Amino acid sequence: MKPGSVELLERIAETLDQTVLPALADDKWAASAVRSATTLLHHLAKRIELEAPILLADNSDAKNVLAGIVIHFRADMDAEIAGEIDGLIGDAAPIADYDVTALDARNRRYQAAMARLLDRGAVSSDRGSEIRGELRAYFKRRSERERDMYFPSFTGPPF
Amino acid sequence: MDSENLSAYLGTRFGEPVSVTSLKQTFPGMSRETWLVEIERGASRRKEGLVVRADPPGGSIVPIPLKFEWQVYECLNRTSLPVAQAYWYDAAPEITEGRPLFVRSMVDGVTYPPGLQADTDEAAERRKRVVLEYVEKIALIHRLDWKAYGFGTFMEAAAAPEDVIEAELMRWWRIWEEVRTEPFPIITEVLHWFREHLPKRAAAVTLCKGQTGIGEEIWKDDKIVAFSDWELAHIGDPIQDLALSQGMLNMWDRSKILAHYEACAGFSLPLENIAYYSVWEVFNAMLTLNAGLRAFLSGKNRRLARATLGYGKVKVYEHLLGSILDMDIEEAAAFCVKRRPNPYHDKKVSGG
Repeated sequence: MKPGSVELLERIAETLDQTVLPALADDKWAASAVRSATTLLHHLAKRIELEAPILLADNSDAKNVLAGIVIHFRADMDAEIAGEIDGLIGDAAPIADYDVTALDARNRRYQAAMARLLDRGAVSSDRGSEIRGELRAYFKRRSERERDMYFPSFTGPPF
Repeated sequence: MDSENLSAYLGTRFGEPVSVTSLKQTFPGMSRETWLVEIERGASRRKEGLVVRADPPGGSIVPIPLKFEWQVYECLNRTSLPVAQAYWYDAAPEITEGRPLFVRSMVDGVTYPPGLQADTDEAAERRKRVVLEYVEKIALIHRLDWKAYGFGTFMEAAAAPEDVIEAELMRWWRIWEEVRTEPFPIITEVLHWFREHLPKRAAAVTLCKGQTGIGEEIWKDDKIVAFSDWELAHIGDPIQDLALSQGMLNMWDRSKILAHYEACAGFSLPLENIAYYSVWEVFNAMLTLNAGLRAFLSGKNRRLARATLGYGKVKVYEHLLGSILDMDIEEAAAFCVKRRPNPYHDKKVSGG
């Protein structure tokens, strides 16, 4: 039997918060650094368990959304962006479920493609609102999916 | 920065012996380092207070060069507005290991007038006095002939009230694309939302301070004795200053505050613009915090708050802004005001 990673991170944060922080009442710079460290530890305790499954689910969702957009709106899109998305969704190289770095890199490419789609002038205006509707629906799902990684960890004091 | 080296540096710049007798860095100093310096100067050892403002390692979180703020001070010093005297700008001094700094005079006063939040009739009366003082002084900034004093030589400025809000949006849109650390497509969509909800016109085209109110100015005896922190100054819609005033509009009867401002400024306020800027503030804070993450990612600034704010708080703001996409401007403003704490302090401003 050994303590799990989450338990260790939470206990470190608890120790900093309850033992170290009160001793720093006269040093606001040090106290602030401890508060920041505690915040990040609480986030990491969530992240090490949630990040991989969130990225797996989000990459699947984002890929489907981009594929659907290219199928339905190709004629209205900037050809270069359509080609980029074709390349992205055609990239079928397998990524291990635990390889967070690779999953995150792929997710970043999907996000970049969406940002480009939303850039000014990337899509003809009469169909642009439909594409934006597809993306807005995805954004809601994404926000809900990743919410627990950031709330309430980062809603405390800023310094 | 240490007293001995700073004494030598200041002595060289002033051309006479300088001895630093007190040196304190203000907290939290996220945007830039601000050092409060007390010196004895010259053969007579006359006492003087200085403020040294410097870029932190890796640069400021505010993606505006320190030299810009220096230029603002240079112009302000030609006006009758209450501001500190700016002495010099140094692009790459040894004292800060090559980070830019400027030196200005220290003004006696506080940024948070004590006791203002008390739940007493006296404090309520004080809040009324303080907010009236604020709108009278901020109106002085907005009435300034900014062209005559040279602000237009280094600030972008749209000519007409009908254009100035969109010009401000597009300026920050470009900056966002330069500084963001992730693609953030949700925020790209939010920027489209801003464009679709632009107010019809600004109240006027004026010099704006960019961040105002309690915590941003120097107060003494409930009077503003100096406006400080001008790094976000710009030519724009003066309502932005009122909307982003750290809760000043909640310190007394809001309609009476605005009526007093209108009387002082000499123009009327399209009130719907306040709602727009209440949402805009969230985007602007998010941009700044995320810009500050770049130095953390590059290893040039390892302060943990750069990560908690530039990564974590930015995700919170991204969620907040993503939630407004289906809202109208009034609903979005109410949503943001209710959920968003001030990113720089968690002090509740009395009265609201």
